Amino acid sequence: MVAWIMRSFVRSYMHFVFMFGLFAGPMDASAQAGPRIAVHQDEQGFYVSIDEEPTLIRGMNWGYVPIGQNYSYDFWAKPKPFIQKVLDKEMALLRAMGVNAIRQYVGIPPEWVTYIYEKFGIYTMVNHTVGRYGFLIDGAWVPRINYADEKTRATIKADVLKYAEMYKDVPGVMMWLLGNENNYGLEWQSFEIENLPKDEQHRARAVHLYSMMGEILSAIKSIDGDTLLAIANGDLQYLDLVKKHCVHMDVFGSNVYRGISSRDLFDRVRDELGVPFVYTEFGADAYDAKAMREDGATQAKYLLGQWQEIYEHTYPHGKSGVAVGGFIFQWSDGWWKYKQEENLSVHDTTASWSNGGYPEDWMPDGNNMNEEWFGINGKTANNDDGTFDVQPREAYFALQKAFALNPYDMDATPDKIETHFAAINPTLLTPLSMAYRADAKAKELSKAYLSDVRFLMSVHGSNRTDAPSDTSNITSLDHMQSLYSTFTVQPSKKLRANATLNVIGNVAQNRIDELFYENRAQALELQLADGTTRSIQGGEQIKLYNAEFEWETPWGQTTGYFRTGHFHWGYEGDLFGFYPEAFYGPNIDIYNVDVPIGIEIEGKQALEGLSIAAGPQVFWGANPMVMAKYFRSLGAVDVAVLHREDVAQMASGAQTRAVAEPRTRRTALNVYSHMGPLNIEWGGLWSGSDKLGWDYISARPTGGRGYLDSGYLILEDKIYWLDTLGTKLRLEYKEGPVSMHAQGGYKGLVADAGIDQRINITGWQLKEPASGNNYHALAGAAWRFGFFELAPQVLYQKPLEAPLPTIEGLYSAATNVFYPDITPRDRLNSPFLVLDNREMLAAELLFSFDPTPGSWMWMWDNPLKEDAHLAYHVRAIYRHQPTTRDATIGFAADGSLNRFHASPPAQDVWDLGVGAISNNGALKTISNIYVGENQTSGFDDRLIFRYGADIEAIYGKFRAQAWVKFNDWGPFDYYRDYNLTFPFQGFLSGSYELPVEEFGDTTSRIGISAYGRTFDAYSPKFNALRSVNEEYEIQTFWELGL
Amino acid sequence: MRVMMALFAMLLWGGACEAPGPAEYFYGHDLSELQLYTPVDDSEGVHPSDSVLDNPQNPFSQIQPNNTNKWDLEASSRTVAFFGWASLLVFEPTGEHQFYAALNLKSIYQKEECEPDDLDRIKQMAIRGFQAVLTDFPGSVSYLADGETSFFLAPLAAQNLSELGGELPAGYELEPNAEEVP
Repeated sequence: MVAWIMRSFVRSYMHFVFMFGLFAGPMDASAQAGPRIAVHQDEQGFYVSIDEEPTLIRGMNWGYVPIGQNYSYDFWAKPKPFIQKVLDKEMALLRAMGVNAIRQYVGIPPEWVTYIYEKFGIYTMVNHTVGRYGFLIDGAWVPRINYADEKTRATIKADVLKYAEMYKDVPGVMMWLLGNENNYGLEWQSFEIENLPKDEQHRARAVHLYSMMGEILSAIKSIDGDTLLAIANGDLQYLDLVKKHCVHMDVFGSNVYRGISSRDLFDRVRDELGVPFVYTEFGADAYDAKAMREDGATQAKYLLGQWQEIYEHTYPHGKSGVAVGGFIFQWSDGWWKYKQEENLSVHDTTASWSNGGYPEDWMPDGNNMNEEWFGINGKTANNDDGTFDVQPREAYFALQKAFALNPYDMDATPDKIETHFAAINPTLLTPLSMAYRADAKAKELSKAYLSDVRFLMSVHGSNRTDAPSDTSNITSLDHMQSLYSTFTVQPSKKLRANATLNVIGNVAQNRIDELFYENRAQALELQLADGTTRSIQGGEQIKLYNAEFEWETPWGQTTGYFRTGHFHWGYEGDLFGFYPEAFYGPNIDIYNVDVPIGIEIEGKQALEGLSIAAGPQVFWGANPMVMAKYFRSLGAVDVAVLHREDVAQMASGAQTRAVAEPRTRRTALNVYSHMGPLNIEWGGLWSGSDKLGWDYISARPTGGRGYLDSGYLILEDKIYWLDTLGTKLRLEYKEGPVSMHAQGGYKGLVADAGIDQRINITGWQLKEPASGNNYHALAGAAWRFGFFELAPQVLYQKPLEAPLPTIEGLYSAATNVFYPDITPRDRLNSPFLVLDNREMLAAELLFSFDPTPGSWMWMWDNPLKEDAHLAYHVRAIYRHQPTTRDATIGFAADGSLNRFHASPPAQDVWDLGVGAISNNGALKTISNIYVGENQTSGFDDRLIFRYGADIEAIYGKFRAQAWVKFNDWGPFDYYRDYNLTFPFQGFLSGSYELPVEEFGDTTSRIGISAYGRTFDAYSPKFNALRSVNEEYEIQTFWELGL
Repeated sequence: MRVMMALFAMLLWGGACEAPGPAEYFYGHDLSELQLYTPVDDSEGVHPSDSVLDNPQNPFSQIQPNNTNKWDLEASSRTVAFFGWASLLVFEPTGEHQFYAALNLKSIYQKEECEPDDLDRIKQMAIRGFQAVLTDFPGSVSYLADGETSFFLAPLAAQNLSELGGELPAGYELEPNAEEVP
């Protein structure tokens, strides 16, 4: 009893002494532009003071990324009014919660650091990643930083010091933070590292990392001796190296996810480092991966437990005394965190890693950490002005209560701390959280609702030629309406489905293009029994436009798609392109085809690594099939096994606008590995076994007369097992500013596969052929100098069996021998062809300028995401084609098939193109110019010299678009099939987005466009007797979106 | 280990398959032995069936006659001529191809260039062929040797149909002054 009283007295006395600072003294006393922030130390521990006031760092990892955006969203580049609007909203909420500091990466302009501090009293911990996610070294983006490289070290250090100068003396800066768990990113390969024993390699890299950190800390101190310095480590790894090298570190920071308690963390920091500790990241996700539901109450429980532990370890409560606070991860959910480039508008519930420190939803055979659910706030959909609102979860309110207690108050005894936290019950805060999220919840819980409506109305005036025989044009006016309505069904959180219906009103009959989506509802002329005709609306006036669903189960995620598209598996082990990307843009509307249609299943837990795709037409032209892929890491090697089995044959013709290939099956075994900076990919292919025994003919040139005096010998053969095999080896090497790759492959006669759709190194277009019957070699290199890149590439390919010549047959009555025609093969009469695999030696040269590599020029959405003032590329491709090819099958305008039985001659072709994107304030332009000489996809001999340009400009609510083409094919595939060209084609359009306040949250656009073309002898509607060979169309349109 | 086993199994399987043999030179189809016609399917030579391509006797299943030598084949046996027209009918369904396919079936029947058990079967096939001209290609024409003088095939098909004792399709009536085959 007496002892207890004595201990309590001593504690109280120490609190008293501490409050008057009799024994406390700053470790580093220094003057600053704003308040003086310092660390104090005595035998009871450490605390951070602001103007001598002991202050717990109640910090937050704050970011602003709206739904639909990802890491490339640059909030600080937005207009100032927008930034201020957001900050006023967000910082007010943070302040109300009790947060006094945010963590921000360098990039936040100093003026906003000061604004946040002066208006809301919130400090900023400025963070430089020190190359954690890559860095620009000598103009080349290096994704995996080699901290041993002197050039790299010098470059990164210079960059950090540049920012140190920038933020020096800026009011509101609390602390400098270096890195973000860089010890988890020590993956660079070098021959020096590779030569060490495996268990020493990682530590050897760490030595370079921390020595560099130490150098940088020391350099910052010489520039700015006032601001506290910290590093963000990954947990407590390599504390000895931190101790040895980071001598000028004032505070040790760490990202820690140990669960509700960090156990020995604080004691170890005290014993092994002897510096104060701040969490740079900690927290819990708000999704229960086992029950598959949101669980904010458990998240709050963890955060309360973690903060209680911090309080208990603050000065001078008798424990370690090293805790000075923490930065919670994170303020609001990151909808982009899983996969980062896909599903940005989906709040993904896939757990991506496992952590037993969170036992409520931990599973021995599955993951439980849901990266997209770490926010203590949810997010609403975007408002009209591009902002969004946050929806506080239980943790927000729980911590608001927790922060009401200042651990440095005189009466903040350990007992009081315990009692204070025990009184906060997260479960009781759930109704409060729900009340803030009522609107979103109502929508979430609605089983079915109309989620989107888009109404298009247009008036078309045209002066057009109906048929070649017309002696004059027809001038007419017509109108069209098209309504798209999207319904969303969500019977539970695990199952969501969308379906969009299209309803057509009137179909304009006077359009100069014969194919467009609404054309399916063209009026039909019926001939009645009495000889009269009657016009009725076309049969597809109402049609399902597209649909998709997502179904989440513990064993897998199933996605169904109907005309909505899917990505390829190229980055997930599909080296031979079995499952290509299926995004067709407006083409599936133009041709009115229902593709793609199928389902995808991605396995989870015990089925992790297994992917299945199946459907009637999972990509355009595919047979009904089932495909499975299993991708797994086996130590230093990644292995993928794929099998694709066609279960039927698709019908060719107008309905599918595709020519079916025979039912087939394919299997591939792909292996990925590396040796230092050299990446190695190898694949083995077995394909086309269903064609075993099929007969075929081939031709060989001969010095003699040959078949029917053609100079060719004709041979009959059949498909054997070896003809079904293929293989490919690809090597890729990256070192500094130079990246190069080399590839070679062989595919047997019927070993068809697909195209490698990955972006390998840079945006080259030359790829190896998808078809079998070839061998190829491909090599390229990319040199980066500053923001420029020069990338040449060469491709050589040759078919194993050449295309067939054209030899006219005959029947000899004298001998009763029939000599059939020999004509180029086509898909309907031969097990293999020579088409994309025709003999060719091609060269491609790519030159680009991109000053903002964060928005990579070759990404599919680069035109929208590119934020450079100017970025451009120049591409030149030359194809030397010394031989002809086999025949294709074309489609007429009505969709009927036409076998050409002939092919164009051997011919060299080339293309030259320039693309540019510019951003000048609010004006964005996307432009392209092209010129080239190309052949038809049919059989005609005429070589087409074509050129043109297009530009799109967006300025606020205005949008303009224009393109011109000279001597080019018409807009649809069959124009190229039949080599039909127009001397001139042009398009001009302008539109304006209308604010329609009466309709609430809508997008409404009104515009006008003009489209015209001229004819010559090579055009489908040309008539030499007509004085005018041209037609044009003017359209006004209004699009209303709700 | 499992990967190696799978590869080994594939090699074994491959080894069990037929080994590649040398290609054979092609010197045309000797039609002299193709005299008697043996139908495999009752729909051979009748639009829209493609079963004639599966008849092992058919020398034109892979490569059909062209627009010149399809006429030259008339100088060969009726069986050869039939296969020529019937194969062309599959890939280019026209009234002319259908008519001459049926006409050669009729000739095979009348000249008994088949097994006796197949006679009636072939007769019925010819009847169906002529009926197909009337129902599927009612307005089709063919040309005389000059390549310019055309004539309608429907009356000729109806006449041949009548000679075989077949029924005219609904809507057709044979008139006494119908054209004869030149």
